[in-house]
Amino acid sequence: MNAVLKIFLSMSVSGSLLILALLLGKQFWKDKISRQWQYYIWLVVVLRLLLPFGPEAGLMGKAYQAVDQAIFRTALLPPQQQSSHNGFIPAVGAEQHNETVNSPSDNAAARLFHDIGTLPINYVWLVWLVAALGLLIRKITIYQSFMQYIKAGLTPVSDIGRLDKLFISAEHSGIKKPIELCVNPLVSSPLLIGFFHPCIVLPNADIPERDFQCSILHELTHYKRRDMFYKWLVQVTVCLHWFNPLVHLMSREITKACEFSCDEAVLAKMGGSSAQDYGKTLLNAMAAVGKYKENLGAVTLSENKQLLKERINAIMNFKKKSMAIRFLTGALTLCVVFGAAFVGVYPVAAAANPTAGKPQATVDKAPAQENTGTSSDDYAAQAERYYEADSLPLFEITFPRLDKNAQKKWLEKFYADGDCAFFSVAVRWLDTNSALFTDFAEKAYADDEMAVFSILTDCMSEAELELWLDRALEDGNWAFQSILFDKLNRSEEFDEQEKEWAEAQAAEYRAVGVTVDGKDYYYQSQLVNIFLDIRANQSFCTLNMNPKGTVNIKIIRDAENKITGVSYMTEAEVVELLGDME
Amino acid sequence: MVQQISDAELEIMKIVWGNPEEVTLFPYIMDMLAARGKPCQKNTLIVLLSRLMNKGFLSAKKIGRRNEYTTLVSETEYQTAQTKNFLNKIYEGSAKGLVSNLISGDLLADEEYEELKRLLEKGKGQQ
Repeated sequence: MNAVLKIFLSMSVSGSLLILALLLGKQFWKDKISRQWQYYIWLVVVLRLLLPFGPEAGLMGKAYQAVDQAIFRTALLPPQQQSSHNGFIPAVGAEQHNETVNSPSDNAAARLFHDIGTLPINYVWLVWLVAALGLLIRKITIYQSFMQYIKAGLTPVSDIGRLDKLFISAEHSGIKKPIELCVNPLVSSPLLIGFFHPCIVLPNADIPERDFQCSILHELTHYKRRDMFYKWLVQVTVCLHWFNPLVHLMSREITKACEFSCDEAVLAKMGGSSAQDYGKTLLNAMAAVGKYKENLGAVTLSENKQLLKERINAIMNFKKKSMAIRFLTGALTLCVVFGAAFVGVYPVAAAANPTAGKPQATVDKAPAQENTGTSSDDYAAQAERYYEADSLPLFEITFPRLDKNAQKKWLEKFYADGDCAFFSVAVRWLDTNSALFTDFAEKAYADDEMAVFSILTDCMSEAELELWLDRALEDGNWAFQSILFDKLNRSEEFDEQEKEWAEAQAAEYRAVGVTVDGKDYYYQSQLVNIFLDIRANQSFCTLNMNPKGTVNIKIIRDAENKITGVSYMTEAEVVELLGDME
Repeated sequence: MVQQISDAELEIMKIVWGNPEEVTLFPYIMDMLAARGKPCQKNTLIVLLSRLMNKGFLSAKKIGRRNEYTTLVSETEYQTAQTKNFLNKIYEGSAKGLVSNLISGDLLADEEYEELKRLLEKGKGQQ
């Protein structure tokens, strides 16, 4: 769910950029461009704020990848690094005590801390959603109570003459549907209510013919343009983006633009010469001060005094736009629409939880690849660049778009470099059944590369894990058993195995004169301080330290891993070992 | 309780009451309004008819694209209700006041007076 919130945040940010651009632009085109355009252009922004679509290469995608990278580093890397320490630097071993490989429990602890740290973050989406719903419900109830208030004092206009005039005007405006005409002395200015059964409410039926005509035309225009729906669409947007002050500002701007453009449309219909009459109507409407806050949801003739002043100015300066202006407007529209498309949203694929990003996701990403129309060569260059920049998330996004050969080359490189982090993000996009994947698993198993193998097991299904476990049990490969048991959540079985193994190991030590008692090692009846047993292939080691001990010893093994003897450690060896550990 | 209706609405009701057919059709009302010298817009009539339906005076049955209107309140019922209203308002509910006013105010033609008298006698006989 946080992914949804992330997408919403990105939409909010890209929407904000557009809002800022339009607000800035308004200073330039205020009186020059059609008010209609200034009204409807906001629709592009609203859609940008509501629709989570956009090219992945969009500005937001880039910005968010950068942000994500930072989050990824802080949140995800620690446990990974931990696992790499366990296996990749075997000489250090990371096993301070007797337990040779304790990475599973270590990892679990790290994960737990990590989970606790991210717990509040995981529920941010809930806060957002609850607030959004609360606001929406509040808006609806306010609207409903306003409707009740209006409807309570409603008297239908029974003057056939007035009704006829209304419908003649309506027909001129292209409205076929019958519209109710009512009077409610409680409203301050004419307004339109109802989505599907529209009703024009006048504050007073006994108004001069001219005023009536203007008011009716204004409200009919609102109805004709479905301004109610636009208004509510904006309200829903505001509720969903409640945390964004720019969206609230936009809502106010749209309300203003709505009235301006409506005035413009009315004047265009009545002819410029009627500007004065229309302006007077507005002033008359304003003479009655509102007794109820009626801005929400209903479309009124006048919203407030400041706005009224601006509107009258605009009305008096009304003239038809020239051809050049119209052309310019078209170009501007294209700019805004492309701008909206370009700022884009946070790419959905990258928003998916990286740890959950199993190879199936490659299927989803395939079409996106076609859309952006970037060739595989470009991706190869990109991958190279992201790798150079040490940018894990960007690399992860690019990797699945590379062709098979390039993927193989990269994986081999990471494998050779022991670059666990990059290896793990890359291997996630492989199909576990692919030859490439099984090759690497075999290779890691053969090379005793526990860290790499552990990463691979993350992607394996249970059945595959079982197969590997059988093999590890057969080979007596204790370290790999540990990994596989842990992955299969069967650590208890492993503990038993471990006990057996520890007994076998103790017997081996006894043969060369070392006795083990719990965590204490004795050699020739002396308590051992440093006990070191490095396996031939350096895959893992046993290191035990007991400050009370008096001697430092190490087990000597031959090429076949057989114990051949014990020797005291030299001073230099001890220094090297301890130095390594720090 | 019969609701109040506006003059325009009453005009329509009179047309529907006066229609000898069981059901009344929209064009019929339009024509009749024009014949009475009160033509109006189609939508105006639609709005007035829907108000009458809301007030419980008419019901409409949709058959295809046309509405068949039937009255729910008869003319007599309406008149009775209106008269009661009038009585309450002007004569404090006293019918005697109304009748005596009709007679003393010379508001009745001779034939009407005779007919009313006969009606009164008949009513007495029934009691």
